[in-house]
Amino acid sequence: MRLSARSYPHPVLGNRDDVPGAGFQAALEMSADKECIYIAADVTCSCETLNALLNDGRAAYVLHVECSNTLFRRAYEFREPHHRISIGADNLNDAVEVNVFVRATDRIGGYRLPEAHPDYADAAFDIQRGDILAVGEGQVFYVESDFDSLSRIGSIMQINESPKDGDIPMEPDFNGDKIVIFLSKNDFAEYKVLKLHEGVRDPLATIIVLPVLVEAINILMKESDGLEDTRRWVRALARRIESLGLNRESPPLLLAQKLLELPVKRALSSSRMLVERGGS
Amino acid sequence: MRALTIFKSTFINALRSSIPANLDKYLRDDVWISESSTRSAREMQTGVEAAEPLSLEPPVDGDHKDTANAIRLHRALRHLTPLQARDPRLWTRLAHVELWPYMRLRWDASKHMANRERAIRFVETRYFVAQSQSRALLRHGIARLWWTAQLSHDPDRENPYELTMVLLSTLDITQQIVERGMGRAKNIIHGFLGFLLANRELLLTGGDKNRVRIRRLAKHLNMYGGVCVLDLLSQSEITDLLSKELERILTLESAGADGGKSA
Repeated sequence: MRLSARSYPHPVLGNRDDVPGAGFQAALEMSADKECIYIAADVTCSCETLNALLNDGRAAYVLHVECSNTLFRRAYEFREPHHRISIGADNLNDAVEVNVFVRATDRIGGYRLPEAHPDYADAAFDIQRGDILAVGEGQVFYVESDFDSLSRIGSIMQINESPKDGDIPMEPDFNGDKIVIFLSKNDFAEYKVLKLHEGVRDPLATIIVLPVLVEAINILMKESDGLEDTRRWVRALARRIESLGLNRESPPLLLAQKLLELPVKRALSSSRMLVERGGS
Repeated sequence: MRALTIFKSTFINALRSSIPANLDKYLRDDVWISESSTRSAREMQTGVEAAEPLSLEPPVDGDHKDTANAIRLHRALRHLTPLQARDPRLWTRLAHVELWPYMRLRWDASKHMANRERAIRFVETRYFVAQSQSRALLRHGIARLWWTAQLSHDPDRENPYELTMVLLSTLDITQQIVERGMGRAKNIIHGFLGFLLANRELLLTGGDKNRVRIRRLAKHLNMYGGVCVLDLLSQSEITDLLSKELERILTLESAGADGGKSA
């Protein structure tokens, strides 16, 4: 459920300036193991009226989880301000939206919030069961269930045959979940044969993957939202740079070579071995 | 039962980018995919097996057989996890190989060939899972059958697929409920479809009037979902909300205030 600021028929804590005299925050954390995704919420509510309703059981917290990728949508009700839920890892993938609310668990007649905006004056509202009384700042998490966690940089790239004819330069497409490198039909046919030979694998990676990775790092630094980017390859690359403790401000060519573990050195070394074995 | 075979992602990328070049092949009755690449470059075995043979009834003379086929497919692949069932490699493979004869009849690209760009978009939408979002799954020729059955399957009913029949009775219902986020919550979709079924005389007998009523009910529920956490209401509470709205709609109709306008 994508929540935008909206006009409710009654004052809602956390929505615009409906209730300026109080706050509602939910700190959310997601973690995972092979079996489950865990979402922990730590809720703080400074509205006395709502806290009283929560204590009386006439209102409850709600953790709302929605994953458009797997059509998963579920709401979890809880009473304590600290709560953790677990969801089977088979249910979520990619972007997962999490929102926290307070909802009425009963009908509440004559609902008034002293902390509400003065425009509400002494107005009283008839609240129905289920009505939202407070909204927290929603958060989007990314679950990488079926995606290689970039143990090798190659896992964020795919090399494909270009649908275009003729001798054309290689062309990367950075718009999808993976970077797709299109090679001309002839080049792709050669690539398919050559990549099976261990001696040329490293030189091949250097001439195809290295320049594309440099361009990808440029995109990551200049145009993307890093870990918040909707493209998986961007998030994976950002995480990889972070996990290796590399400086994101380094020149992209330097970073790319560190990520690929000195590809020029490896290419030269395997080429020398190939020559020495009489493979030239 | 045989393990399911899926396409490799690299092959799908290449196949998708070749839609313009392959467009005429989407008019052929024979399965042509093996002409595109070697088997090892194209496909891989999974550890997932179909519980029943994968075959769908061919649509005939205006009867798409959507309901029967959704049930058939869901029964055969009922053990898929949501994560497996969102995988484009599975659905693209089924659409191009095992269920190609069905796809040719149900999603016939020749009807769009007068406009080449439209035909390309049609193939991309119905034969491929175009994006990683739910809408793409609900538009794909095969994935939509499984997902509509999955969302409407209610094991508490004598016929667990009773609501699937309602959901697929018109494309409009699918769009109104499933393509809105609220249709992914079981209590909401089951409550909505159950309400349509309970009021079939007023809502499911076809015609523009019924269609407008269904749209208004879906719109009302969607709007109400903006102020209320519908996901935690019981099905009977969803039914109550819809009953009140239907009463209001019928009152407006009988008072002539509606003026015959559609929503």
